[in-house]
Amino acid sequence: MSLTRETIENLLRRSTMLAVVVALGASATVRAGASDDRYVVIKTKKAITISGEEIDDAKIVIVGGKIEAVGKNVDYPSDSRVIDASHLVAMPGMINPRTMIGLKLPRQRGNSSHKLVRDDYEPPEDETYQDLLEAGYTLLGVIPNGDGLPGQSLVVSTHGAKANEGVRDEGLVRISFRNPAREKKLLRDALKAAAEELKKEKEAASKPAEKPKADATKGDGGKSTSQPASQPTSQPAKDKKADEKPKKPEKPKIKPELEMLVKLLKKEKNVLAQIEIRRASDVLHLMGVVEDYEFERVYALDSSNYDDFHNVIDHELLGGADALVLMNPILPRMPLTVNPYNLARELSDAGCAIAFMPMGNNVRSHESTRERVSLLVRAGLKREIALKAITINAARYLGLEKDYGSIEKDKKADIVLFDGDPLDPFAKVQMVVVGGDVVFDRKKKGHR
Amino acid sequence: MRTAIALMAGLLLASTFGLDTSGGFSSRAGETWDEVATKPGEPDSQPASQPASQPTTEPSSQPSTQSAESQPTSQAASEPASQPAEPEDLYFALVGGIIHPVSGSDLRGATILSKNGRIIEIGHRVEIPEDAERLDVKGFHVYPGLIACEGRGIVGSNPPEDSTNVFGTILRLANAGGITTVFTRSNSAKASYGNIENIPLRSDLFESIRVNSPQKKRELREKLEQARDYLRQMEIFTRAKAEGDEDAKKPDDPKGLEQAMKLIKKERTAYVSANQKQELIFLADLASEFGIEIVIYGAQEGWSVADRLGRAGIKAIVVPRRQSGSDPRLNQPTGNNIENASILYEHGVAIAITTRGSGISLVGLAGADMQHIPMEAAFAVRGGLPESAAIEAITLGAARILGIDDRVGSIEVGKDADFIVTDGLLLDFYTSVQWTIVNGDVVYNKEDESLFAHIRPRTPTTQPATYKFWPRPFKHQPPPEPGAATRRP
Repeated sequence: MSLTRETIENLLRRSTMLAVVVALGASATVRAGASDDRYVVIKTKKAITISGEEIDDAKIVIVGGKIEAVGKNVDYPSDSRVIDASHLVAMPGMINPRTMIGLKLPRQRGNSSHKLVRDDYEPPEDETYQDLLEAGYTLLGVIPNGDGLPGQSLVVSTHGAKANEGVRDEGLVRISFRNPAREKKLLRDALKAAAEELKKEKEAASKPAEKPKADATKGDGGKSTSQPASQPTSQPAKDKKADEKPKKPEKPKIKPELEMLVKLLKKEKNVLAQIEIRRASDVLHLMGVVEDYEFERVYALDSSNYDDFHNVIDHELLGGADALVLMNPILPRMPLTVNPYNLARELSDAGCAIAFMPMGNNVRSHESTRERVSLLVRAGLKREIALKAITINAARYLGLEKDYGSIEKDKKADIVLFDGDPLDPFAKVQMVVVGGDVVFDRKKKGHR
Repeated sequence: MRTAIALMAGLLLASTFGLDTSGGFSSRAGETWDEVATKPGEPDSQPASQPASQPTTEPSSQPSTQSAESQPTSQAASEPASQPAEPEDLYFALVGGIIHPVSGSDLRGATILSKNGRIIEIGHRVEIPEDAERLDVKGFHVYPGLIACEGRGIVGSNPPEDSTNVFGTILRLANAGGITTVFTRSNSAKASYGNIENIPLRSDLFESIRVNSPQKKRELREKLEQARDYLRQMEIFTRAKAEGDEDAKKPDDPKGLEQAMKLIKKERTAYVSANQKQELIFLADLASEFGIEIVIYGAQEGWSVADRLGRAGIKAIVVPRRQSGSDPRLNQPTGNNIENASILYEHGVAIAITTRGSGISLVGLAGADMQHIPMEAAFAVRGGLPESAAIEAITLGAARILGIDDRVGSIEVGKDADFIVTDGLLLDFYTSVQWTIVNGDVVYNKEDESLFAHIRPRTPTTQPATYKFWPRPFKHQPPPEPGAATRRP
């Protein structure tokens, strides 16, 4: 392969990263010589693929940052770089889809769904990211701070700038429904206004004959999800503008804060509503607002005690709709008693997909998540569901289930290696491999 | 929309029934409700005609099981306005209880039938539809749901339909205490565990005023005077205009008098928290001078000026167990008095009774919180209030003061199906609420509630009932002797 501009850029970036890492005193974690098209093979004791079954003595073949193959007997070129982890268990990198780590934004109020976390995000110190890697987390969803519709979430990799390519930074609309007295009206009005805008748009589109064709191209362009969300939608729009500008100069203008909601109601790909509720009665209040609208949504139970959610497990928004529910890995108690019940299990029995998030925004709560999840497994949650809940379902909460969250072909190679079963509280993360690079190695870290 | 139509129908019914129910009820003690209803010569007031006429007046564009306020006016683009299914009528029958309607005399062993949350028939020979939900309460007492005045934290405020935590423990305990309606600040709302439909009752009755300092008293009086003068001049002006007087001068637009004008026009009622004698005298004078309607919360020293309050037409929400010492500076009787409610009642003051604690206290379940409204009323009975007046003060009397007596407060045809079923007379300290029904839904059943199921269990069995989540080991107690809970004659 010739030295294209891209590879030079990559090399440059790599060398700056090297400098940083050298300064940290862990130079061996990065191999500066490796280029993207070289094959990397991880030999493992066991691979928990999440998408399929668990494979003993599996080999994971990585090329260009993506997984090429996984299995007991897979072919790979003889000059591949081999990472020997034959005593370790591989699992896809864990994902925390809802955090505020590194967020120094002011609180937003009302409908500011056009604001992006990306614009104001300051990554935390490298040490924090290293600690999160050590806890097994490779991807974070950073939510905007505030009430109502505070903006759009950002997804970052805990492994620096390079791994952030292709991770999304818009289209995840956070809807905080924590205080229905205030937000019920806000959301109802916003959705109503967006529906009216959509209606106007459709009326405007139905007048000239060319419009449906333009829409069709738009739909095709939206298919490839690995690219940033803005890419497919903006590209054809630009072309169309260039073509049709003399024909119809007046295009209905949409308020910026409504634009995202209109996209949501259009059911555009890459647009997802993350609705956060605090108590069971919020589900009933929410139902009164959203029952007339159809759009892609996922739910987060944003509370530290879930003692009344047993009332709404089968509600038509949750169990009835097979919704994705993000929750803290805790065992709530029946009200006024000490009797626990396994909400995660009840929800998954009702048909919901479960995802778990750490209890807080600090490193410690990321470290303790596996332990908490293992307690839920002991209390009756299925192991497969628990493992999905911290990987692929967490990726679903970010709309990234096509690229992250399992070990299978064409997915990003974010792999965590444990020295035991991931749900064993004694097991530690020994190694983390992102895109073929070993980004964390406990042996090299020394005293820890 | 459905609610509004049902309300109008209910009002119509109530008004056509009015003479029969309230006036002639006691004289026709032998007759039952259905006999009254099916008397020849009054075919229009027959409740049976109600079900037939109701569906036809309903708008066809209404989707099923939606309340009017939760529906956005513009439908989502994806959903065409198709012909929705006709909402199914939900019947609920409460069979065989000893009914205390509060608005009339008691009925033994009668049946109450409600449809879609409204009472449609009461009597001994009520035909119960096959699909009706049925609750057999033979031997139990049935009262209208209690009204909690100044109850905080039970339903959300501002507005209640958007902020009530309907799965909250507090709401469940409120229902366990017999509460079906809560009044907070200026909102009246239903307390119904697990339901967010049909919560609001009324929020446009009261204007808050304050009289707790000389300056506030002076300001209030000045504003009322200005508003009265303005209204008088306005009337003179309009009259002169009508008579063709071109020189008539229009009075200046008033500023900051909106509240006072509403009070003087009797569009609103003044709501004021006042306990001291001087404040009460001031309010009584205000009411007589300006003809405004006043509801006083507290009125602790009302017994010392009850005659003035009664003449001025003041209404009061009293708290019999609240205590305060007398004021030593005054050479007059002051302070709290066990006879307060009774003396006010004797002087014609409309009273409601509420509890000392204004919320549901989870800490102690101590007996002075909102769960024990009947205990508070019983305390007033101890001070001389007739028992019937005490029960009225926590049901229909309170509803009248809050302006919601067209919907709640008594068991009458056309009103909401809000009942409590108790195992004894309401004001007896042995009595506990066994079932609570709000809008025709059973929202509380004592046997299912972990906190109270073990206290004098309803079904005396050898094995514990459904205490699934109760942490204490169940200790079986011998069942009470028949009639032990109703020792009072």
